[in-house]
Amino acid sequence: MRSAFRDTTIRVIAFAALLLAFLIVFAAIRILLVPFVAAMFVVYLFDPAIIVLRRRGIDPSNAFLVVLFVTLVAIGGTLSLLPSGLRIETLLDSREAFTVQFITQLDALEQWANTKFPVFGSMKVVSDVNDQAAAMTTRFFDELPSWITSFAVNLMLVPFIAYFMIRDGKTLKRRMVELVPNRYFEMSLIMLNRIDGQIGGYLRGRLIECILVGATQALLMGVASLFVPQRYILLIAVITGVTTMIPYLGTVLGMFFGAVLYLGSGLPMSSMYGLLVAAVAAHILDNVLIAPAILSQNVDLHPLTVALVLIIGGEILGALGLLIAIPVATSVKVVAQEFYANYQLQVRT
Amino acid sequence: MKADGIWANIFRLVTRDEALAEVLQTIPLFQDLTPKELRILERVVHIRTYESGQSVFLETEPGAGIYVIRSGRVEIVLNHKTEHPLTLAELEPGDFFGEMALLGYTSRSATAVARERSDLIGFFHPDLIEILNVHPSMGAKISLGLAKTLAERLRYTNTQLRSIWEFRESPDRVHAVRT
Repeated sequence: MRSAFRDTTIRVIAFAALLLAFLIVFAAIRILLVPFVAAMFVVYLFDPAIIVLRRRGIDPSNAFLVVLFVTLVAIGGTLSLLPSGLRIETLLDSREAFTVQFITQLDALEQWANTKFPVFGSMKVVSDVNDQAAAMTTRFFDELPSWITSFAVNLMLVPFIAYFMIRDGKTLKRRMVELVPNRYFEMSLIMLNRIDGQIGGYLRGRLIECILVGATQALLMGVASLFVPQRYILLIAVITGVTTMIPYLGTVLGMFFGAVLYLGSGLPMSSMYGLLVAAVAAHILDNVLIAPAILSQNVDLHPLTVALVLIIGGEILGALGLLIAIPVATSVKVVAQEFYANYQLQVRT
Repeated sequence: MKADGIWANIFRLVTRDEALAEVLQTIPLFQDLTPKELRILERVVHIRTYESGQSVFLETEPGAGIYVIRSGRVEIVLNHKTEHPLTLAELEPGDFFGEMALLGYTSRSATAVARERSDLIGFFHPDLIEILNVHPSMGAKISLGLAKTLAERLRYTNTQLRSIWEFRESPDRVHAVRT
């Protein structure tokens, strides 16, 4: 019993120390982190297609260029064929009307809440939102040029970095493994392979989950539109799909985006209820059917650990932290498991 | 003088690669591979040097693949760190060991210790999986070679077991035990 307790303590301390070390290093190289992480996502997502092309005798770097070209053409083609309802310009064109309607709807919602739940005291959401919105708009327009510049630079850097990751990644990995002392050589090989498999499987699984959740959301909003008016179905479905990349929080963010959109569009409250029911149903379907089928074998993390690492990731690196928290935690867990197994073996022999 | 150095270096590298391919081709796992496939294999394998007395892997440790002895001598030992270690085999250049782990991350059934400074060629499970993905026909040849090797080992074990069983059942042995 005492030994088991000691083992668990060692495990927890080792895991926490490694997690902290990773987070410090990540925070230190924050500037380069965004393009590198994005490039890693691209490499992992492109990997199956690159393998298919490599089977046909195409060089890995050329295979990457082919896959990149096809992806860019597909994205460009899809964007050009999008129905007007999906395009963001329709929202930007009517920004003034959007703000007015949003405040009006929020005001109505506030009055309704104050009447129904007087126990919570008088709510003053609208005035707060007005102040916050003004401050946010000023900040947004101040920082917009630098955001656009950094986004454009990152957009160009990502394929460039991904290309070299594909071309030289294997050699680099081999060189790194060559540096490992003989005693830990096989252990590091197993560890790297397991991390590689888990992160790759997780990211590809998440991508499939995002697509399926987005499609389910669109389908359910389509069903809801038979009973109550529904707008921006595709736009909300795409945003929900993208935000699903973040575990747990993703669905809430997608739902929040849809709710804000509906409040500003002057749609009746029944439409909002329809949207919320569709979003909740999509979330349940995701949790019950989609995620267990796709992700169950990829990442073996306790839900509490997931919540904890998301909070830490979000706190340190913001949105990027939320996206990379799970892969980083998975890697740290694999490293800790391998080191612990090795430590136990050394104690026994 | 400088040119000689460069040429010497080039020739040394070529000799080294040729030697590597030659060693690999003698292993049953790789003997059906074409020269082109052997060149692919050369880029995948790891070369490690072990000093005398250094363990390559330990009994019960998770293993990832096979080792081929390029130079030196390796001993396969059971109960390595006990008072009564049992030496199962003494391997020389061209011999290979640890092939069971190539199928997956299984525990090592014995300890391998270098008995003199040894250069080993390592070929591991992730590399086999990648070869199966990218070069399926080459992967199939290696897998078939691995299956043949394991079948051969199993046949040998069966023969050994039969000998033991026959010895246990033989009247001479019963007579020998009674007297």
